[in-house]
Amino acid sequence: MIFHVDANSAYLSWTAVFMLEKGHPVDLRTIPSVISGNPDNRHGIILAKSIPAKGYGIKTGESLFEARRKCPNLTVIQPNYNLYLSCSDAMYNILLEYSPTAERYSIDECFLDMSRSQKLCGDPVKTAHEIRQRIKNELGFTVNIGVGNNRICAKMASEFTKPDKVHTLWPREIPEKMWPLPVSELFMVGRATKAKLEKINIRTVGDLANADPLHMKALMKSHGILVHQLANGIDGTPVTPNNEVVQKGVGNSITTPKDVTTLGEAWKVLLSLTERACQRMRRIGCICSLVSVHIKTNTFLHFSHQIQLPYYTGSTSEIYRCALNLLAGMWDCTQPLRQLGVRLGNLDRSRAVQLSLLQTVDPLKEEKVDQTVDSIRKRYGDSAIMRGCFADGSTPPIQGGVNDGQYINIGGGFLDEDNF
Amino acid sequence: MKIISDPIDVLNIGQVGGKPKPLRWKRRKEDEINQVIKIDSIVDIRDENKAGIPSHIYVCESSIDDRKIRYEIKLTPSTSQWELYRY
Repeated sequence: MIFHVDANSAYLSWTAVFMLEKGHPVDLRTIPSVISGNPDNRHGIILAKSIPAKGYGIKTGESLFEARRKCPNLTVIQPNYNLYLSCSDAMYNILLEYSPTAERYSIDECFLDMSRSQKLCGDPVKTAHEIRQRIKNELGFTVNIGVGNNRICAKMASEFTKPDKVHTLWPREIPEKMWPLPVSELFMVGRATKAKLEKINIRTVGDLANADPLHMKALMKSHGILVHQLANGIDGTPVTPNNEVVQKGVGNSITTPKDVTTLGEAWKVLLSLTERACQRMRRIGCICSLVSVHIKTNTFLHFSHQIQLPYYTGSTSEIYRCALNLLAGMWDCTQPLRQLGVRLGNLDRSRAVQLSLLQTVDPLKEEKVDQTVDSIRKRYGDSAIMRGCFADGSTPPIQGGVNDGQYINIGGGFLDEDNF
Repeated sequence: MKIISDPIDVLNIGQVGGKPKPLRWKRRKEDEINQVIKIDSIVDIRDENKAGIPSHIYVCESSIDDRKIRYEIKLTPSTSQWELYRY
């Protein structure tokens, strides 16, 4: 028995509750309003919208400029990630009272395995209503709860109608409730998969469920089999409590306030991103052997290169040197960049370093330097110590993400912190 | 009562094993002459966790100009801030 708990318009309703508590006269949920980053820093993307804003055709992910064109008197609120974390933590803590097997799938979604709590809690639908009502009364925002036999059924059920609802999706209800939905509504079906399916006239979840699985495999390999199983409500993935999730990578990226046009600027941004990514990786006690760099040009072309090192390292300088080589291999300064990112993979927790004949610097010496810098930053703040190249103040010495360690255990098998 | 959420300065005493007990308070607006209000009685104390921010709400009564007025003040322990919450 799995529950999927999903906060309705999470960022917006959390902000609305906070503002009402501060004496704001209007509930943001009742007027056309959105949560959006600052367009001056090129972060003007709609992160969440109210139901009245949805009525104007405003969509999550579109630009603020576009949204304002659809609704000129739109109320725009800047995001507040600390508040979102508090709300998410509070919701998670309520859920833990019902079952210890709770997985934070994202900042506003949790899976709850109620199989072992069923005897204690009784009727699952009644329990789901109780959780929904408690979150509404105690925390002030609404959630949708999907109840099903497995994760996919619970997840799909929570998406049916919003807000503040409990829906079930038992195996016998799948043909009636899930199959009439457009195929794009199915979990794991994105734009590319939808386009492939529509080419062979699969338009609803039911069409996909009744398609030949071998045909799906021929079309999309293992992903074809996966979506075919999901369309039939088959999913054996267990709910994994977050403290048991093994982190497989650390990523950090940023959209720069203005285009990066010179190599010098790009190096600095890359260094500041690498500093943060390495700091996070060392904090969870890991070293890595895979470094990848991705860039996005101002014409939205995306490039990425990665390198598999013959040894493991946790050194910021060593990883930065690899990142520079990767950047040099894919960017020749002809096209300005709007986004840069670094990702560290193949993490190893043993921290047993195989020394390499190819390394030109002493890794142990660098490790000591990094440890010292980390401890200074932990004690006195990020700006307490920085590299000399950042002294002119043109680029922050550490940037990217808002993470301060609290996101570490959110997410599925692969944590990509730059998504937050 | 309407939510105001104005920051206030509170004189309070700590109670062993319990929540702070407010005694007197005044508003923090600089352009006004801020009267110190004595809390005559605390009618109720409740805990809230709206938007995931734990707080203690004190329902208080004070006599102002020979009138007994009931209002709520809020303490947010994470920031140690007091507010005139609802009035």
